Amino acid sequence: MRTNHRGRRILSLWFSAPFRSMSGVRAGQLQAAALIAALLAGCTGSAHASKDAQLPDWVMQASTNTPLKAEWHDARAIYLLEDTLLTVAPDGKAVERYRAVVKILRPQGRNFAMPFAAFSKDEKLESFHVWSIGQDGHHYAMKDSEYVEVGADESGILYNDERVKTASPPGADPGGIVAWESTTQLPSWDSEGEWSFQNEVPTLHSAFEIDLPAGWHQYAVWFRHDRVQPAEVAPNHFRWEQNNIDGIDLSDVPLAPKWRALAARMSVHFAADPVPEGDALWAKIGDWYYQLAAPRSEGGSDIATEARTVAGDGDFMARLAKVADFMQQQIRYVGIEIGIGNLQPHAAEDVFQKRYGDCKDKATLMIAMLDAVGIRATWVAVDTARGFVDPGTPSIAGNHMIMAIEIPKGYENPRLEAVVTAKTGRRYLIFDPTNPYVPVGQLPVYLQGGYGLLAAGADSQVIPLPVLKPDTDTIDRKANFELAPDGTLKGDITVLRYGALSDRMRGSLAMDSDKEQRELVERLLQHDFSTFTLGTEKVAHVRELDQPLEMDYSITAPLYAKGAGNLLLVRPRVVGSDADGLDDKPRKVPISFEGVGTWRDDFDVKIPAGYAVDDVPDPVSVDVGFATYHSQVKAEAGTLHYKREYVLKKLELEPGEYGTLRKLESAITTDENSDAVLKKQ
Amino acid sequence: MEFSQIVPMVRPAVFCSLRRFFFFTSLALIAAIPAFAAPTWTQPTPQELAMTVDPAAPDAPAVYLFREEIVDDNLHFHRVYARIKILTEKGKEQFSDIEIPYEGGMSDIRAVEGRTIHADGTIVPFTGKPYSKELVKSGDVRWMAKVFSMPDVQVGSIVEYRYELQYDDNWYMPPHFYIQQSVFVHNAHYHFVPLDLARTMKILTGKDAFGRDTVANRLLYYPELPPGVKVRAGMDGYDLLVDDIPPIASEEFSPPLDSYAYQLIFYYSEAISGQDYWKEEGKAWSKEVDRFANPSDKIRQAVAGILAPVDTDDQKLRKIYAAVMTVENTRFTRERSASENTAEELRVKTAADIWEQKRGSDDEIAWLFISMARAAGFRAYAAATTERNKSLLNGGWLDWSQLEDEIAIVNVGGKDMYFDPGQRYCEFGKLHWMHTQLAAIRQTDNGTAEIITPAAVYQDNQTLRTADLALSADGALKGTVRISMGGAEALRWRQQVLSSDEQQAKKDFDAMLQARVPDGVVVKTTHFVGLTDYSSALMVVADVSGSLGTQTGKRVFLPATFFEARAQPLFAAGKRENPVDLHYPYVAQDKVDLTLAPGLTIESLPAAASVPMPPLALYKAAYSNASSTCHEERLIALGATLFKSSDYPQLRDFFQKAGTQDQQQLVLQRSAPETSTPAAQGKSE
Repeated sequence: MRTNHRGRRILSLWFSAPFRSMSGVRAGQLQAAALIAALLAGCTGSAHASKDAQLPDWVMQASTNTPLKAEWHDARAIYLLEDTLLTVAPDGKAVERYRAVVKILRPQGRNFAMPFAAFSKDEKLESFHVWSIGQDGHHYAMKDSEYVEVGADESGILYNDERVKTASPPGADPGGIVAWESTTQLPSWDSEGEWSFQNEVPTLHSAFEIDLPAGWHQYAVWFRHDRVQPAEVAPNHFRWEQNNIDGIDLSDVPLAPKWRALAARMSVHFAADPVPEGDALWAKIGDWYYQLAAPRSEGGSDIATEARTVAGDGDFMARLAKVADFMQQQIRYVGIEIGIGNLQPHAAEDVFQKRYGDCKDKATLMIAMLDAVGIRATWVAVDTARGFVDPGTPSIAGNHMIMAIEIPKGYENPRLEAVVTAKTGRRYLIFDPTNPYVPVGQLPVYLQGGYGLLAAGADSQVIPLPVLKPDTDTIDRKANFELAPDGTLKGDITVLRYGALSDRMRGSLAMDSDKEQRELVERLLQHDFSTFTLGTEKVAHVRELDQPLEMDYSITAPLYAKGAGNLLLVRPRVVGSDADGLDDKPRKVPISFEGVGTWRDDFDVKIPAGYAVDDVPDPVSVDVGFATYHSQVKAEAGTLHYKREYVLKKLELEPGEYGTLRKLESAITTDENSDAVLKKQ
Repeated sequence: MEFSQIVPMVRPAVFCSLRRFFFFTSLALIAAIPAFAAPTWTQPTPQELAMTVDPAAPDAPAVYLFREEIVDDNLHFHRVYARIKILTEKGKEQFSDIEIPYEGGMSDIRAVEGRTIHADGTIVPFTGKPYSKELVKSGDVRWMAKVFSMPDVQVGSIVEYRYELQYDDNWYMPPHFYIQQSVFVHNAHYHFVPLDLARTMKILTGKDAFGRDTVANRLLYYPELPPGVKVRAGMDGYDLLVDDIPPIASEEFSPPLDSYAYQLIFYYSEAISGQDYWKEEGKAWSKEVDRFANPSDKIRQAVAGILAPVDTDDQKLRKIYAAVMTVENTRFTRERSASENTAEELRVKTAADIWEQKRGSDDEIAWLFISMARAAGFRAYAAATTERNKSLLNGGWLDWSQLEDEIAIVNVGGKDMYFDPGQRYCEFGKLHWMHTQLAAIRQTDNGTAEIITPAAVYQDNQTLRTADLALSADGALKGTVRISMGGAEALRWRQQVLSSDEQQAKKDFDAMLQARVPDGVVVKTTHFVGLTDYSSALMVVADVSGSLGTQTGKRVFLPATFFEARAQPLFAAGKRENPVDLHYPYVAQDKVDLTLAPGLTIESLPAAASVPMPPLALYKAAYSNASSTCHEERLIALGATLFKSSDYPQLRDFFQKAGTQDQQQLVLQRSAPETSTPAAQGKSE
């Protein structure tokens, strides 16, 4: 054992904290754990799996050769069967039995044949079994001693009691089949079963059953799939089935939405009383969460005192901004989640004392602090995968908690941009206190355009999260250069970043030392210059969220202009790129941009004495509805002026718009690479 | 830290520690464990509180003001005490959460205490409870971590904490002190009280790398320390005091820096000396090789079936090597569990088993080759070495398990030839680059010897890229690319296909190529030629389509280099702390023919260019045209792989100049004004 203890986590992905993860952990998420498991299994020299074991009938049946859809020919693996049975006892406790049979088709398919079952303090794993069939037909049954347990290891989460039992089954090669079965008790508070029947690879057959006590009720909601009626296979025992489900593989898809925002699923709600539908179900879930969290926001006098000190005496926005700044700057992101702590925040008092907490803790403390200064606020459950939370699919599922701050009637302030109006008529400012780099009033881009569950007691509802105007998120690049006859370019560049889109750059720069900031600029410049020397370099307002993030630097780039006979070729678009790398494959999934915004360049290049501008690129002007792009190069008084503006107005496009987007990108790319020609006089 | 020399990649001296020793004896004297007396905290100085930037480490996110580790193998504890000044947000994120790994069951973390001191002197004590987190549990082994978060840490705070790892009475854990941390260390103290073997009359038993029982009777240590720093050995144990220790810099293309980091490794051993250790362990290793690679009757029969009586030595070896290359190498597929082998009625005891089952690990296959070579009458030997991308043999640390890979040496006509049969599809008579220029231990006729494995030369790694392209008047491009690779690059792609499949490799090759060719150009790999034929170059054929070039009113501009049009120079950073390891020398040649459509005429070609970096590297580019075809020739050769950090500016300059040359443009004139080029494609009507 190593006795050195220098390893520790780095909290950079603060937004990855789970609010409530989907009940079915996907295979891809387990690759790191699987790797450890495989390593350990190798180390322990597993020797217990019995050969030619008797395999359960359901494994044998699923493994029977069935013709596969022709378009699945290049799949890495295939789920031959996924089968979930949720049995609910009269006391409301539920047990989930999950079965999977996976056939490996290609070497990379091994990743999908990694048996696993997640469990925790409140989700007891009752049983776990693994079987496999080698490509040579040998049957194996693994033994308990061959399984490995791996603890949750999520970035930013200091402690989570969730673990995974997994195994490295024999025979897991192309042509081989791996099957597993787990039985898990659902947490006592859980009244929702989830059927994630679409995987990254195709699924031949998937089924979900719920067995309810007499008199109980169920209501199923569907995401990205038409409603399917279940068969009542026994009294109050319902069964849904799906066959030939295509996989969703986004591994090489540019500008793809998040996988979990695309994969079809069904959530089934169950209860002793009739389950409400639609908005009423959202309200019920929101109220349940509100009752769970609200007591945690009751702050003590120390919180109130601090809140009043921090907030001062300004108006609503001034007080709010100061409390928000306190939360963003003073409360560190640390997740400690045990049992229902995956959902329920820690007490505001604890968070305040320790000065750390996860997303729901931060929201809770801020609610308490705002309450002390006369501002009402509440929780909004969201998911950072835009589109995952869907108005038509009421569910507690999500991975992040933010907040809604009630705006006083009639109050207006230009800083209030991320505003929604609830059915009650109340106006709320939506704010993410976990993100330290997006100012209150705005919303991080990964949340814009999604939906959230406003937990407001009986007034709970699903709300759309606003998309901010394109001119809110802006990058302005301005530069003045001077070109020497030998092609050397010298000049000063200023880049100003406004709005929520600047958060990642702010976050990176805030963490960087001066040296690392310089290296970051050098890496960025490497995209534009083969040879260059970075001169001065300065970054300003990284943490001042009410100011644009400013980067100023100077460069010298020898041989920037290329000689060609008596010509000098100069690229007027000297730095920065607005183009996205696209492919030429048929587009099947929507196109998802990081955020809407406006990008502007304004560059002057003074040409060397003795040269005249002989030729400049044509101007470009494109308007495709969802975006506009205008660019022009002018030669005036010995100077090349390059000016362009790119405005992206929509966050998401339909797959059918990919062709238009490609044309736009082609225009941008061509413009970015175009040269002006200087001729020696 | 700087290398004392550039080649070979080896640490001085040599030699397996028994990292943990199980104690068993009826004579044991169980030492009573005194209560863990709570020490006092350190009062911060006004300078420490006020510090916002550390002049000793101006870019540091945090610094260790003090770090102390005290280990007592008689009392079975390992105490850690740390005082860390937080200087930036990054430092806050890095040092506020503490995770202490330990092995459950036989050890525990206790006496966790800590406090945060703000810049104004306010003290916030850690009053929470550390959480016990299960990392991995497999069978009886349970890896755990104690985790806790320091309270109210701010930039400017001093984080101060301590804890004790307590391990069971029957375990002994001599420490591996890592002197270099992730941030600058002002002062550190390391102290080790070893088990007093003589006084306690304990017997420490363990197993060596070959499963042999060992009995440790002395303490050894390996110091890799800053110049002038010495370990003090006294009656109370061993002490080490260090000041001003820089962090390990993380930079791309660095050698395996953990092998060079300052460290102090203690271990119990039965070795009398390093020489003695390596000799004895080498003997055991060699015996195991000989047992496994014994040319049994089955092996002899197999070899007889492969060779013809008229074969020359070279032909014999090539045939044996080719036969060995057909064996499934589980390093690139999947290691089978014992149960699978049992199910298939397979056993792995000798080379003959590997040959029969046609499957084995990389080392087993290397030994199979040796066995077959011996059966053919060659003097064939094994050599054990490290992997240069991961670690270097640390000569002063007596731990055979550092040597993780096996290669083969065959004497042909009085000359030793090196082979890498464990690296499937490695060329005959060559080593994978990660096995070149490394310290190794080889078998000899009389025992074992230390050697340095051969370095590759640039001719071993040749790439020829050709493109035959045609540009139409509207800017559309059509053509074919053929890339022929030998050596390291060919091996990389061949092995990638083994680990995944050809379909995936095509995809990956497309992505690699696509990132380098000009914007607008689309490449599609159609097929590989020679994927399994390591004796010939690997050829990749790709179709080219899309568009090429940009235009102004009068002219069309084309990138003068096709294969590197969008490639970025290798190094961006202006400064470098670590040496550079570019893995292998190579020569890459490009030959591109571009036929222009009627109406396009060449106005200007870039001038020929040469960027020399004698005697280590050379870049050349030349352009010509004949009738309507432009011809580009480009060559880049790298003759060395390891560079001192002081050579970095020259190296960076070379790649930047080459990169700049790759950005040259070809200027065409158009005689047909109506034609549209890609620039027009996106324009609105």
